[in-house]
Order: sequence, then structure tokens, then C-alpha cells
Amino acid sequence: MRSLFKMELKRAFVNRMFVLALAIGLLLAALQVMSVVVPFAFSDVWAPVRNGMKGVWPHSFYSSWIGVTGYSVFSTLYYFMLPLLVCLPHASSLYADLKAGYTGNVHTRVKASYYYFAKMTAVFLSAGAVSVVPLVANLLATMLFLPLVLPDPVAGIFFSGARMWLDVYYSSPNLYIVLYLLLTFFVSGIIAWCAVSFGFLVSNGFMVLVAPFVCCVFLSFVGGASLLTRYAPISLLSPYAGNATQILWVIVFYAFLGTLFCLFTGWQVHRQEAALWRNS
Amino acid sequence: MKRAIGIFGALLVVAMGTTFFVARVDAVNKAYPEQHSFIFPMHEPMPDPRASALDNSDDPSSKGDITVTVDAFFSCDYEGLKTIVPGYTNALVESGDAGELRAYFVDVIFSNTADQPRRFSLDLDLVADYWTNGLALDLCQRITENEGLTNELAAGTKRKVRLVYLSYDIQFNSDLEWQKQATRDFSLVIGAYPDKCLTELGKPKPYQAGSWGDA
Repeated sequence: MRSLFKMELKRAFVNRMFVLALAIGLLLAALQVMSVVVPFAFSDVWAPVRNGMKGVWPHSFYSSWIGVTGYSVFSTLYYFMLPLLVCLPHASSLYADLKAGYTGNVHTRVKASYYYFAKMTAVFLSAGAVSVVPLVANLLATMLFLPLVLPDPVAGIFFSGARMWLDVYYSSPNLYIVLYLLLTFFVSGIIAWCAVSFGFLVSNGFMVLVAPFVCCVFLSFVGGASLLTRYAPISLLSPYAGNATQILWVIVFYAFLGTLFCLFTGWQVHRQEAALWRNS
Repeated sequence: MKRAIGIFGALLVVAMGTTFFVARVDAVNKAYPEQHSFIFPMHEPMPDPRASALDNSDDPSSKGDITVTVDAFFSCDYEGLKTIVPGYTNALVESGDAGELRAYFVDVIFSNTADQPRRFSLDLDLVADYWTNGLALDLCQRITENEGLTNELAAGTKRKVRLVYLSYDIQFNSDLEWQKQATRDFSLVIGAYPDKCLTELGKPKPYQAGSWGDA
């Protein structure tokens, strides 16, 4: 069990697709720093603001990291592409294993549930890492250029209006960032589980990877004014989107989806195993 | 041996990177002025740190020439507001976009303590924890018949103004937060980075009529 777990983790974290997904995420995070943060810190245009001229608040770390700059195309692109990026490392591996007959080999040596548990954990962790590492890198890079001026409602450069955790943003902005990183990790893992489930429904590896992305876009845009739009990862995970959602319902919604994907995948794996034993 | 050297090298790189990071973050933060908050109780004059910015002279000596003294703090609901301002309708509430609104009234006295005329601005912020809203200028003008957002005050004179602020339920994430808003402690804030002057208003009292103009 332990060696299987280790092997799945190695397969999830040491592969070209993981590096590619991470590289795309880091590239977008770096481009956001170059196009937003660096001009705020060095451009002559922003010099009066940096000097506090006429009492205007300078751009702060808390108002300029990738999660809060909805006006930056790279922020938007990052959160838009997230459902696709998180599936790249390992989400289609179960589909590939089934196609290649690898699962059959594994089932003869260990229980299907062990393999399934190791696979789902590795998929979840790799997806979470791909989503959070670029954000952490962006946060650290932003800290190198802009001051840690705490959010103040009268400053005019920080969030206002109905938003999830707005009180935390003003009382403990670092906790606010940590909460969003945890939410991003958690939701990204479940998006990747969605791709694993699609591996049993579609017969094309590319479709397995793209299916969760299509679902998220559908939820975001086609959902229109319905309440479901609030739970779409593209708007839910980006603090700038101003999502007026209750965290309890977010947890219930994604816990339900996660359970659904796990049960469906478990049932399919069990079916595969039963068929294997019948044939042998 | 090779492994030990590798681990040592990696630790050295991490230590150097951390040192650079901490030093750089410290340098960035030191390059910006230290922020100060000055807190005043009601009925005590609070200097307007923006005064020097408003007279366009950039003369720091004029900072504090205008003082703001809060005299009273009231609130009422939409129905109450309609009786106070006859004929007033709020587009957000009437269209159904917002369910409820609450109006807040702050009576303030602007004083020019200089021996020359100074300009003052009505644009003060009402704050309650994380909620804030700017002045509802149209309502303010209808109630007080004041001439505009920035006005001139002759040397050594005072002007009493009733500032009006609106708060909507749609500005909050839940009904519970909206209900909490009624029990929060408010403050009237003048922010001019890096300084911030605020008068603690406490909780609003029910609306009372008053007089305004030259005080």
C-alpha cells in the first residue's frame, strides 16, 4: 500500500505535464508581476501615488497580488485556465492506466481500493500544488516590490461591497490570503477528480482533460444569473470577482461534488476489478 | 560526502535567498512613510489633514487650518428618509435591486482657524468596521442647501453641515451582516495618507431635525 502510494505520488509530481502546468501558471504569475506590480513600484506614472501626493494611498501588496487585480489580463487568464491546468499533471492517468491495461496488472497484486485511494490522493495533491504554487510565487514576488500597507476602507484601493470574507480581508489580510489559497487547493483537487470520473464516460484522453474546464465555463457563463454561477471556480476562487457566497454553502457544494466523483470512480474501479476476476 | 555537500549547498542557497528576501521586503516597507491614526471623541475638533491639498499651495503649514467637529449622529430607514426629504425616491430600492436601505446623518461643524480663507471638502467617509460609503451629495444638498462638495470658508468662520450617507443591504454578504450593521460602532474618517483622523461616533440615534448653515 505504502509503495503504491509513493509510486502514484511520484507519477503525479515527476512528469512532464506537471512541469508544463506549473510552468504555465508561473509564467502567468510572473507576467502579472511584470505588467502590474513592477509599474506600480517603479514607473514614473505612479510616482506621485508612491510619494503619497495629495494624501492618496499607494498601491499595496494586499491590493496588487494576482488574486485581487481583476483588471489584469494575466489574473483573469490564470483563474480562467485554472480548471484546465490542474487536470494536466495526473487527472487523466486513471484513464490512461485503464486504456493501457495497467490497472489490471495492479489489481492482481493489490486491492483495487488501495490503488484507487492512492490514485485519487495523488490527483488531488498534484492539482492543488499546480494551483497554489504560482499564487505563492506571485505573493512573494509582489512583496519584493510593494509595501505591506494594510487594507483600509477609506483608502479607495481595496475591496468593498458584498464579498466572501470581506471582514477577514480588513481585520486579518494575511489570513484572508491563506483562506483563499486553501480554498483554491481544495477546489482544484475536486476539479481534477471530476476529470478522473470523466475518464469512465468519454473515450478520448483529450476530452478527459478538457471536460472539467468545459463544465466550469458552462457553470460560469451559461449559468447566467442563477445561483450556481457563484460556485463556478473561475469566479469563486478569484478574490477580485467579488463573489457574495457563504463559505458554508461552498464547502457543502464541493464536498457533495467530491463525494459524488469519488463514489462514481470507486464504483467504476470496483466494476473493472469484478470484470477482471470474472474473466480470469 | 557528495550528498552532504549537496545538502549543505542547498541550505546555503535557501539561507541566502531568505536573507535577501527579508532585507528587500524590509527596504521596500521602510521607503514608505509610517502611518498614523489620530482618534477624536465627538464634540472635539479634528484637523482635516487634506486642507493643504485642497488649497493647491502644497503648503504644509496650512494642514489643520480646517477643523471638523462632529455634533450629532442619527439614522433612519427608507420610509423615514422619504418623510425627511419629500419626493425622494431611491432607484436601487424602487427597482428591487436593493431590499432595504439605511440613511445616516452626521452633523458636523467646519471651522477655518486660519487668518485667510480656506477651502473645505464635505467628502468625509463614514466607516463601520469594513463597511464604508462616500457622501450622498445629492441628499446632502437637498437637506442642507449647501453649494457643493468643496466650499470656501472665510477666515475665522464656521459652517454647520448635515452629511448624509446611505447603506444598502446588498453591500453585505448576508442578512446577518446587514442586521449587524445596525449595532456596529461608526466613525467619521478623513483619510490623507499616511495620516488618518477619525471621530468615534458610536451607534446612531433616531433621526432628529436640526438647523445648519453659518454656525
